Amino acid sequence: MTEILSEYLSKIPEHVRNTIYGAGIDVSKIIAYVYSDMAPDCKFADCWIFFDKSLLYIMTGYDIVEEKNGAKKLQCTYERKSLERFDISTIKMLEIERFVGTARLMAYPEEESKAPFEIATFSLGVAGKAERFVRHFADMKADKPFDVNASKEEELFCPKCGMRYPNPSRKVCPKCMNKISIFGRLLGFFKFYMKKLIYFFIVIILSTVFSVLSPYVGTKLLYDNVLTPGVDANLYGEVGLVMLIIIAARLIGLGFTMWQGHISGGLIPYVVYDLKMKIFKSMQKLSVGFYTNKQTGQLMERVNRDTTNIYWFFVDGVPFFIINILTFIGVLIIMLIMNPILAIIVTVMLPVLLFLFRYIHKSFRKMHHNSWVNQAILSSHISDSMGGQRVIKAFAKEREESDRFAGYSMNARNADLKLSNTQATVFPLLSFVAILTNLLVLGLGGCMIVSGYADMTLGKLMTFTAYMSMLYGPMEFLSRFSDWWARCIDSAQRVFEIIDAQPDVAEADEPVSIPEMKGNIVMKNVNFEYEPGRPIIKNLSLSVEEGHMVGIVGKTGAGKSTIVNLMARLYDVVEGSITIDGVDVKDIATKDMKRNIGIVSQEIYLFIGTIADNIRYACPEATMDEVIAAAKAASAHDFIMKLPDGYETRVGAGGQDLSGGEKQRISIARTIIQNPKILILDEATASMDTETERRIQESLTELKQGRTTIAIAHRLSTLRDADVLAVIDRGEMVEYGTHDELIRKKGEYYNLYKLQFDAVKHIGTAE
Amino acid sequence: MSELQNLAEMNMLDASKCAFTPTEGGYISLKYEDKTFDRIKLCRALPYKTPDEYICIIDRDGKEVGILRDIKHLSKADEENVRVELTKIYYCPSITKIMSVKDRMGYQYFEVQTNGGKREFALRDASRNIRYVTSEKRGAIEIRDIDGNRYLIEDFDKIDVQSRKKIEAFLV
Repeated sequence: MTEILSEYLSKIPEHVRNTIYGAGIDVSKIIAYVYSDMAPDCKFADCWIFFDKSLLYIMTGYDIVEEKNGAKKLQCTYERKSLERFDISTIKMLEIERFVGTARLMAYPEEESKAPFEIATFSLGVAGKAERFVRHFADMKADKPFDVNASKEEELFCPKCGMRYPNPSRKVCPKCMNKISIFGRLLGFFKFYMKKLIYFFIVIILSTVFSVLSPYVGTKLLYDNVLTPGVDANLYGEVGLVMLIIIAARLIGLGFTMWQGHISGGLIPYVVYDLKMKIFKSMQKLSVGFYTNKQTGQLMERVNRDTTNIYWFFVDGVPFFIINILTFIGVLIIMLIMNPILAIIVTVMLPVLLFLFRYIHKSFRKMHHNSWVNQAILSSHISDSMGGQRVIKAFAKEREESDRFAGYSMNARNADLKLSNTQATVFPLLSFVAILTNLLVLGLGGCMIVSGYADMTLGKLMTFTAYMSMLYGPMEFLSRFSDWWARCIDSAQRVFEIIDAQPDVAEADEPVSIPEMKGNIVMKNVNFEYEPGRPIIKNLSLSVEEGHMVGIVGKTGAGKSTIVNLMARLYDVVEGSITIDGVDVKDIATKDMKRNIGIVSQEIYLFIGTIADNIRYACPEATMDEVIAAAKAASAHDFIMKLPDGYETRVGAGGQDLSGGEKQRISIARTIIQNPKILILDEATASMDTETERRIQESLTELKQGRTTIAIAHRLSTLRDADVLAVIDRGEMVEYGTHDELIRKKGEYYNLYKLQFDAVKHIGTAE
Repeated sequence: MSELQNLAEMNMLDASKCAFTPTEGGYISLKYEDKTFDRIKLCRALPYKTPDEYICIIDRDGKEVGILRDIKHLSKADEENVRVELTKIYYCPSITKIMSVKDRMGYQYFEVQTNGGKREFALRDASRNIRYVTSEKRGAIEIRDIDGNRYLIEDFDKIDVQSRKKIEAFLV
């Protein structure tokens, strides 16, 4: 405990701690602290708010960064502007008040007559930490121990370099990320295909060597051995022969390229298949929280695109990289052997060209992005107005919509115009630079031929220029390669993140096996929140006896579904405990939880397949008799039999359209066949008409025999069989008892009941 | 339109009967006719287009006291008090110079100079979080970082060329 506290306190920077000491305050006595980035006048500052047993301190000031020993070392000092002290015994509680652009910390005095007062202001990024600070304060006032979990706050900054994580839940620092090791891991997927890989490299090397050597054979032979005057030969025959040699060389080169494409085409899809399988398997073991988290939702959507990125990097990027590097080096070596002086001139020009390629590529990327954004806006406008045609026509706004479209369309046109205009100017200019280099070489080479310097011949010069033009391709490619590489690594990073993600709701190391649950559920002082600082369930205690039915009633957003999700351990409680048959749900084996708890929820999902497959989902070995019995129990049998394909009707995406009620009945049948000991009905019959609901109710009555049932419903009539009712309001249980007791109590339940009863009565009189 | 107003109680406040006074602890109170509302909350209905008009006044319990059509109709002192409160609630530092924008893994890291001091922040999805404040008035630009903090460039045309170039590509 003290260790955790000292670790927690050590996060106050050294220079700030010194200042606190300097003010005569013992840092080790500090119970909790929070950093605020704003002074009360909304100017950015470095303020520290902390408290010990008796006083609450507000220290305002600035971090001053100075250079020490030249520019290499930086030294940080804290310049204190003010230090205020408040007697804790006069403060009742602290509270965070959020504004649109900032948030502030308010103190409520013990004396009721006194108004609360502001003690600090901060930007929204700090508000989450400040919430925890407020909780620590409340705990201290209530004499509760320092909450260990609450002090483990989320790291927002990279501990290595101090750069802020783009996404705190990802904890990936773009600066410190080890790009090589990620690539290494990616390569790991190739290890099962080693043989093919070696084969692939040999072919690549062969084909490159061949393409590098072919100008030497073709061009030089043609000019020096055939077309040079004075060489005694049968000219026509020689020309023909050289042509044949060139064609043969090209054909062999072509063969190699096809061969290499064939190998990579047969290798990479296997690797990508492995990768996708691994991602999908990892995703299956993650908990529900992962899927409801918005950011990870986005992450998932990208997985497909990410694997595609990786695919193209390996299919196109890597082979071309090897080919281009080999070509580049090979060509330079041949040039140096042929004529060192000319080669050096070319080498000097290379960085200039490389720089130009890179610069142009960068500015084009911006323009392409701009054009892409405008196109995206345009197409979203098109789909918007297509979807809204009824409304547009109803308000006779066709003309305005056309005008609006014209505006977006014009933006897209202008962006494209800018792009193509620049392209039309830049590319000819670029090739002019390349031509200039060529001319320089030709001029100098020409002089060398005339003066007979270094055995220069026409053939050599022509071959040399042919080699020069072979350099531009690799250069252009290499200038783009870094982006390609970065994109692939970024994609790979995201993919590995999913593969490596740990489920929040993990099975205990030594899980307790309860193959057959009795169904005694006890929730004790349960607290739960999806996001820190926004509690959904507050200090809730509830017990359900074996074989009983509990109805949970409350307004929308009261936390009813959260309660059952916690019972089924789709999430873990933040505080408190939930036990089933006396064992904490965190210790029960996952497979036993799943086998014994059946949930019929308001979200209905049918998988692609037949109705029978869907009903059998939880136990594939069920016989057709059982399937029909379950369907009958769920009042689904009748409508299924009316479908032309009966139980073999295909449902799910692209299958037969079923109504919400029909789908729900199938999902109830799916739960019935599972034969769970604990049955959770979360608004199971909300989307059905009263008649169907009644029939399902009747079949459920059968089902409920000998099972513990927890039912959530809006319509109170759904809960008429419940043994007890729990009324939930804003995450708290406000009433608990039987229907009669609660009616007599004339509280929240009575009001709800009266409201619904009156509505029904009203309809009756209106008719 | 006037018929429409009869449909629902608009509850427009008479500016001449309003008295706004800052209270202890950093709140503001409103005295309207003979009633006093302590610790009221002010909300802009159109925070970008007309930040001084249609100000909703909400009492401690979250119930609307009424709507103030234009704070310029108030007395000078009251107007000032309301302005101070609104500025605090809608606090948004103005960027005077963009020192650097770095693109890392699809996130943009900004280093800027604001009227409140130097500031570093990160944002995701730049083309959505850097945008013109209103479609009618091109010039003012709002940047929203990953924590939800807002920053304003008051006039894009007046900021220096180097700063402008750094975010031009994100603007649509």
